Amino acid sequence: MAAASVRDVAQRAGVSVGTVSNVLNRPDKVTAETVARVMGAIDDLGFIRNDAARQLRAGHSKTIGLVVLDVRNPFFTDVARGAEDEAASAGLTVILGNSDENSDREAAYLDLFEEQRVHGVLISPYGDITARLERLRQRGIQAVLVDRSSGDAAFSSVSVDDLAGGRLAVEHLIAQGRSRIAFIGGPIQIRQVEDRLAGARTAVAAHPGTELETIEIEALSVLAGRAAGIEIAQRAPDDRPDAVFAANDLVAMGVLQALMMRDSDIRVPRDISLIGYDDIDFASAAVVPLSSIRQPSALIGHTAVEILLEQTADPTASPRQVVFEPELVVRESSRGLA
Amino acid sequence: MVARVGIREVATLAEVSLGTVSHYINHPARVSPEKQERIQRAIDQLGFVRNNAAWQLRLGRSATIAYIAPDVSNPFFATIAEGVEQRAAAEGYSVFIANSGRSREREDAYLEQFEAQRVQGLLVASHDPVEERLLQARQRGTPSVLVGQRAISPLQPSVSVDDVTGGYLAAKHLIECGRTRIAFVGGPLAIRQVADRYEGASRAIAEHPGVTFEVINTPDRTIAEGHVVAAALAARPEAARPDGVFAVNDLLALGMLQTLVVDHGIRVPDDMALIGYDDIEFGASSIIPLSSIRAPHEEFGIAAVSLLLAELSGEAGDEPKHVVFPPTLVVRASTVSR
Repeated sequence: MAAASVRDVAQRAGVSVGTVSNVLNRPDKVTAETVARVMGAIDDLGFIRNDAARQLRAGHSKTIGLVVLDVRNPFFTDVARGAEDEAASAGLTVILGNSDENSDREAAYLDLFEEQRVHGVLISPYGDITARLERLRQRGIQAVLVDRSSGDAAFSSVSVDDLAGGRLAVEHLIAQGRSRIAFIGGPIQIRQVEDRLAGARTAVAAHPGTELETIEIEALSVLAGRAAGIEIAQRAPDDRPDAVFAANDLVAMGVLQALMMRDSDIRVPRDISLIGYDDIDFASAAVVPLSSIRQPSALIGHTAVEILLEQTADPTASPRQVVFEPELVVRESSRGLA
Repeated sequence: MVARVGIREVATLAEVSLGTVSHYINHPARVSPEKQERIQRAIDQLGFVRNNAAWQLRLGRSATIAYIAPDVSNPFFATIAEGVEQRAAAEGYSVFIANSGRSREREDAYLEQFEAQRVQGLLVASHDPVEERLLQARQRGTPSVLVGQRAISPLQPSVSVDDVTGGYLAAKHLIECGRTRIAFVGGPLAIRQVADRYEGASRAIAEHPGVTFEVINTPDRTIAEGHVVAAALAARPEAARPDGVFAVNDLLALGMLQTLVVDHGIRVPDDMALIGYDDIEFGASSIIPLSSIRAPHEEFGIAAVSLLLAELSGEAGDEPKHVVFPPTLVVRASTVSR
């Protein structure tokens, strides 16, 4: 069926095309009787306003584009929820693109959002996209970095101090008497992973007699964590670390699954203590409740939208960097034996 | 803001006609290699981006599909999204994800928005009756696949799990474990998926005289709601508690498990056996590994996109429009002690 046009609606309602346009865009300028007649015609014909046409005139849509690294990570869906709530109160919607830690897909979503002339972009970057975001800005689309501090301060960002978080996690493990610590995470090129690892290194450097082994995995997923955990479980007991800091909770859950397998003699935290990162809902319900580093995920989403709206209202405003402090949450998986 | 670069500027710089640039963008093969190179160089130099809004006006369509889900933070939906993205990417489509947050109002807003944006098609999971709205969108030219519930209309493609059988399997398993006081935890029953699981469970109960069946209706199906229900059960005298619980999804079950075991010392499965639904990846590593009903999540997303592509190509003719996956029982320690 051919889509009904404004012209069809006007004809059906017995008004001019200009009046239909007024009903759609400036209803206060039209009498209630006319509004009712036009709306009736719209319903009859199944007319739908073509946003593409409208956006050409208005410049921007009512949508914020959000690109996340991994839609399967509850951390990011919590960020999205915070962003949606804040956006909704400004009459905007949020659509999500999952870059899945892939620069091609990341670039494709930025292209799509640019082509859609979105209201603004929130992105947790995977590759180096500074030039890309600069171009978006030149085209009037503001961007705010999420969960990563902006290196060059050219863009606003909302992040958590991942260096402090990494240090907090490993200092806690050391305080429980652990000395052979393994960091499991990757790819290292993800800034969050790099920062958490750097924080871990700082903690180990400050405590002589402790050492840090880095086990790089290809994705921050339960599956990759499980594979790393199996590798550790298969080592001779003396070669195993006595503590594991996983770069996020998904990885930690995978490690936990591997270490606690039925045929394994390893006990958490007796033999290996374990801490994750993000404090997702499932962490506290794990087979051994999981210690973690908590980030205010929904608040990150809220704040990012807030800044984006400020920035859109006044593109000349200088970029803002908001950094939240992470918080240590101690549960069974890393409690000391003393 | 810099002046927008149009194809006019590209044509001037490349010293070709407007029509040639247009050809290059839409049918590159029709342009000589020499001109292709000149135009591409001009595009790069000027930072030209095809204005998709204008382009869509002519073409009517963009290479995106949209997936609207009621709760993207449920790992169940995220897993489906993965299958969706995999299949879509293989066909050159990008996927926009929108979270309706179980709000009818938001769902409507996204449906309208994506339709107005002229996405190629919609994948919609919903807790509300949505078929009527999808039918209207289809009549206006945007096809869709209903995800997670079997469509009633023969014209509406859908991908679902046989939830009646799933509910039956769950309750029957509890009965076979020797449980006689069974509780169904979930709601609202107005949601098709919930009602179907309830109906299946009722059938299993009906086959076994002497087994009692209690319905604990919940307004929501989250971990937090599971905490609330479990606290209420724990507050009852022991004899008044159910000895087998079928929670309508894993989030509810995991929330219950945590409260029952950690806060109230109730032994699972000895005092109370517990089974969930969906078999999310955290179930296996929960405090007591969770029995569940599993649907093939990734295949689900793949099947949904395949149905949509068939609609788009107009070759849907003889293919079945309703794909219904059979669920399977996954037995773990929460129902059977080791």
